Amino acid sequence: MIRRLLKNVLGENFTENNAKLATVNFGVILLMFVLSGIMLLFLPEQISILHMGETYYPIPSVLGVWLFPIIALIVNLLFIRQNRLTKMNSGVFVILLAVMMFSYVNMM
Amino acid sequence: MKHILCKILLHNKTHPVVAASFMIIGAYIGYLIWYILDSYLPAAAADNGYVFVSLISVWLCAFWGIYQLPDQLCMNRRIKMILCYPVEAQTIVSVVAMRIFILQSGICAAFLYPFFLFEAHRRREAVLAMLFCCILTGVMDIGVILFSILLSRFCACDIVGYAFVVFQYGSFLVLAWLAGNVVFALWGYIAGKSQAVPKEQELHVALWVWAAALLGLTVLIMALRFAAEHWYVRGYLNVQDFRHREAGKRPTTSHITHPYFLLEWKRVTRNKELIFFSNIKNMITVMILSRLLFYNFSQIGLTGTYVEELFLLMSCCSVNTISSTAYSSDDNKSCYAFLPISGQRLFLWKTIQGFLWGEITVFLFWSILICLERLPVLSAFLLLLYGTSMNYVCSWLGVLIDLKMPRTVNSTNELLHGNISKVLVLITATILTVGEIFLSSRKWLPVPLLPFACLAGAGVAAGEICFWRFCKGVFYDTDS
Repeated sequence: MIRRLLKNVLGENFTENNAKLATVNFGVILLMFVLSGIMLLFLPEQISILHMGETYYPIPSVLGVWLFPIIALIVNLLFIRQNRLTKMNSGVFVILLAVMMFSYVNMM
Repeated sequence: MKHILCKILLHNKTHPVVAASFMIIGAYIGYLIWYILDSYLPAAAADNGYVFVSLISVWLCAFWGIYQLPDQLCMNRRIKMILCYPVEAQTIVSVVAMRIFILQSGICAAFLYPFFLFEAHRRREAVLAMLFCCILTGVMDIGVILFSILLSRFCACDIVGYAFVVFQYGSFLVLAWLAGNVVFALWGYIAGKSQAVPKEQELHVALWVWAAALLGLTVLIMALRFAAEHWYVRGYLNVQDFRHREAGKRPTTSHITHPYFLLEWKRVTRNKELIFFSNIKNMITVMILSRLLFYNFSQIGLTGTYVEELFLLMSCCSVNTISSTAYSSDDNKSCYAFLPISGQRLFLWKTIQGFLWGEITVFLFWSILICLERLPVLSAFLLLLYGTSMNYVCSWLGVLIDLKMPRTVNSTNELLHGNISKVLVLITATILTVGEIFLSSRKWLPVPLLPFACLAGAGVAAGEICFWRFCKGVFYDTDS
């Protein structure tokens, strides 16, 4: 059942590794960089990148705003290195983009 | 010529986009580390933070060198193709070593360039630190190459492969141990270092260290030239001849008593990187994941005794790559369709194999827990029971999800890195554990959390065994 469902949703080439998916991923990451640059104009001077319980660790927005795109870039390079470019992984990058925008809107 | 050699030997060309991505990542991470050191440390410690950063960069370079140099110099099959051409052994060694050294220099530069930005008045020290890191990395690289050449030349061809495994993984372990002891001891030294150290004394020490490093580098380069010229090629051919042999014994007819176990054992143990690389990665994942889950769920009120321990053991069980890639990483699966193999028994043995390997991680973390926290005997026993039952639950689930997943895989390293099945197992295990903690924290149960978690884990495991026993048709792999 799971197999049939995933094949219906994602097609037969569920785990196909190709340059098109790499390009899509790099495109999404580039969009993340651009959106982060734009959001920099609206964010407060300092944003928190980590918290341990009640303790927060703020850093300047100009530095912290690039954290999401850099993480996405590292993950994409790891996927390329491991031959693991899939439609589902590209979907993860789009979700990461949405999470990034949501967190920026919350911080504003 | 060196350029052509590099292309033949390393067989990969880095795309400009990938190279630019590496540069951006290095520049960002280096700057972020320096910012954190500068902002969140006491002033005295922050002034000496460059020692800590230098040590981290050298440590990373050493990891990379030990991982890559023996593989590229002694096990690279492409070298055999060029040995028939008039290429000197020294040229081969220098081409491979330089390629790896350039990447390591990039790591050092990425970690130390912010020194110029944060401490603009200490440019001389920044240049010296960067140079020193490069020299130290070079010394370590040459040491690794020398040792690899000696191993390949002077170990008999039937044990040389094992010698390399011991050398590489032993060095990894030593480096990991050093990270835990020396780096943090030095951290304490840096944090407590007085600014009132006499300048003359510092200069004296620095001169000695530099002299030792340069002298070591010169001696090692000379030794390497000698070793490459006299021993490298024969050593390389010796490694290429490596295979397990038992001298004086004629091969006998083998009688396989447990074919399902053997199939699974071979699937796992044929991959030498699984023994160390994947397990270390799993341990780091467990530590990060359990803390993340604990902090996030405790913020929404899911607290109680042994919650942190349960999350830790649950994380150990759910990152089991061996079970979650049971079918997708199995090279023999194409043969199963026409062999008289019971899909149900194969499923059982895949589960057992995943369970046994996972139990090592569970037992390791459980031992660390009881050593650090001095738990009561009953609680310690219940935690082990919980870990074991959850380990079976997660192994079974991982194998089942992997059996039912579509498999048109190009990737050859799923066993090392896991796949989407691993994520699904993690989500299911987290839901189960959070459910148990939720019921216990709301006082809806007459029993405490730990015994209840054990009972629930054992109950789910029993349910899985019954399902396996009575639903035979589910376990036949129709995709092989």
